Amino acid sequence: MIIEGTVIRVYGDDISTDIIFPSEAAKKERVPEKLGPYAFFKFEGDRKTVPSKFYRDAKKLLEGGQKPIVVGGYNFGCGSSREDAVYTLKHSGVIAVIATSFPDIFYRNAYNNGFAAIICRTRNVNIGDELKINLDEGRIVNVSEDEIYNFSLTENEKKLIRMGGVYPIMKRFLRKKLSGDI
Amino acid sequence: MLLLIGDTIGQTITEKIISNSTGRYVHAGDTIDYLPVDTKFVNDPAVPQVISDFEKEFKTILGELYERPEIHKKEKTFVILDHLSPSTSPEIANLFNRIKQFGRQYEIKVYKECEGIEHVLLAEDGKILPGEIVIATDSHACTHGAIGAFAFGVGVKDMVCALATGHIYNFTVPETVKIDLKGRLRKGVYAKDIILYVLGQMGESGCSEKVAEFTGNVINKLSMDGRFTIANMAVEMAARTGIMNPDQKTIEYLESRTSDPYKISRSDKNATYTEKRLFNVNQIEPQVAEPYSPANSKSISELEGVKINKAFIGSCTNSRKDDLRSAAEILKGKKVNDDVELTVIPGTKNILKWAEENGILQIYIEAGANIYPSSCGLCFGNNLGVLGAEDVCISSINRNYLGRAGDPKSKMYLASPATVAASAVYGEITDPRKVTE
Repeated sequence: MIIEGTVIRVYGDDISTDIIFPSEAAKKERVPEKLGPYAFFKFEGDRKTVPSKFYRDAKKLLEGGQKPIVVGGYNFGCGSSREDAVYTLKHSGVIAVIATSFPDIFYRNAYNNGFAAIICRTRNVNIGDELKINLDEGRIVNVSEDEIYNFSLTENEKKLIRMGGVYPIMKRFLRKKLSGDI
Repeated sequence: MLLLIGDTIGQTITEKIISNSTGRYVHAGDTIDYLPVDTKFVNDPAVPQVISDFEKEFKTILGELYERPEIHKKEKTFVILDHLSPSTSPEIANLFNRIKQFGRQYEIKVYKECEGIEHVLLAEDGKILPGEIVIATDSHACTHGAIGAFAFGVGVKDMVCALATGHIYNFTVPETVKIDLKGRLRKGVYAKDIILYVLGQMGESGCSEKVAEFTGNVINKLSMDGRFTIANMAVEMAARTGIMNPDQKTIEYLESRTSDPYKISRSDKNATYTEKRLFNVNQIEPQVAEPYSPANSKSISELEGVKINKAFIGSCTNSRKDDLRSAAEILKGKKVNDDVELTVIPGTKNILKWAEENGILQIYIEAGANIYPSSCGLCFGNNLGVLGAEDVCISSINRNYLGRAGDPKSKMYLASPATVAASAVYGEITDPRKVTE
C-alpha cells in the first residue's frame, strides 16, 4: 500500500483533540461524514467560520489533485477520547497523520477507522512537501526535500488499514463466535 | 537477566489482570488479537454514534442468532448523562429521551440526568471492581485504576465492538512505569498537588503508551478519594492508564458498595518495569498548573498574586467528599471575593446529600458560591459555566488546554480544591496555608 500526498500543516507537540475537534462542534453535528468542516475551527482563521480554514485549505489541495497529510510532534491527539478528532481529519480528506508519538486512544481510533497514524520522527518536513508513504515497507520518501524516514506497522495495523477499519474484522469475529468456531 | 530453574518472571498488576482475563500468561509487548472486556460505560456525547453504529453494523448479525439482539454483558454496561446535562436545549432533551429509550430497549442501566459524573458515580455505586478490564468512551476512565481495575478510555468503534462481541481488537499489553511516592505531605498539600507535581516532572507525554503504576507509602496513606484524584490524571502524561495495587482500604471501600465477587491482583516484587521513578513528597508545596498544559505545574509561591475572576471546584478529578471538605475548611466564615464567581459542582447527588447533612453545603452557600447540579460543568467546554475571552479561572479540573473550557482567549489554572477556595476568597492565586494559619 502506497499513500501519496502533500503536507498541509506541520504542528508542534501536544496537539489535543480539543484543538482538532472542539467540543462546541459536538452540539452542532454528530454524523461522522459531516464533521470535516469543523477541523480546528476554533483555532484557525476566523473561529466563527465553518468550514474552517483548515478544511478550506484541504479542499484546495484536493481540487488540485493533492491529498493532504498532517505532520505533528510528540503526543498528537492527546486528551479527550472523542473519535470525532479522527472523523474530522478523515472527512477533511486528510489521508495520514505522521507524528513523533500518539497517545493510545487517538492511535486506536485512527486504525479503527482504517486511518494511518504513523509514528515517525520526520526531521525536515515543511508545508507543501510531497510525501510517498509505503505502509508495507515502512518508508516515507520526502520527494521535495530528498529525504527518507522509516517507521513500522504491525500486521494488525496493516490489516486495519486494508480492511478500512475494525468493524469488518469484528463482524467476522462475531459470526465465528456465534457459530461456535471460537 | 539470568534465570535459575524454578524462577518465574514476575508480573505487574496490569499483566496479571490481562492474564486472568485472557487465560494466557502475558507480559508487556504481547499482542492479544481479541481482548475481553468486563465492564463498559458510555457517556452522553458518545451515545448517538454508539447507537447508530451498533444498530447499523451489528444488529443484523446478532439478530440472526438471538430473537432479540442483545448487548454483551448488559448488566455490566452503563450509560451516564453528565457531559451535556442538565439539558440546555430541546436538541439535548431529545437526545436524552432517545438514550433512555435505547437503555430500555437493550435493558442497560441509564443513570438519571445529573445523577453524577461518570467516574465518581460508578465507583461510588460499586460498579467497578478490582481485577476487571474496564473501558469507557472517556479518557478519564483511568480514574478506576485507583480501585485496581485496568481501566482505559476508548473511542466509539472500540465501544461498539465491545457492546456487540464483548471484545476489542488488537491490544498490546503495555509496559509499566513504576511511580513510587515516598515521604510525608506538608500541611495544605493534597493528592491534587502530588499529581500536578508528578506531571510537571514527567511531562505531557512522559508516560506515553505505558501504564503508570502508583505505589509507595504516600499512596498507602491516602484515602480512596485522594487515590482517585491521582489515577484520574495519569492520562495527562499520555499514560495508557494509571493503576494502584488494591489494599485493605480498597476492600473496605467496596464492602458497602457491592456484593459481587472480585479477584484482587497485585504486582509481584520481581515484576519488570520499563522505568522506576521515585518522588519524595516531603518538600512539595501546593502546586498550580499554568495555561495551557496540566504538566505546566509550579510551586504556588511562583504564581501567587495572579488575578482571577472565576473559580471552580468540581470534575471527575476533584468533586468527592475529601475535596468538598478541604475547600469548605478554607471557606468557613469567609466570603467569595466581590470580583470572583465561585462555582461548586459535587460529583454525585449522594455527595451533595452528604455535604448538606454535614454542614458543608451551608458553608459554600454562606460564602456566596454557586452550586450547580452534578455534571462535568465547564470541564467539557460547552456546558454550565464555560469561560469567555476575558476570564481567568482557577479550577480543580484536569485539563487547561487552549480553549478547552470555552473561549480560546480564556486562561485556566489547575490546583487543589483548597487552593481554588483560597484564591476565590482573595481574587488572586493564594496559598491555602495562608488562609488557615
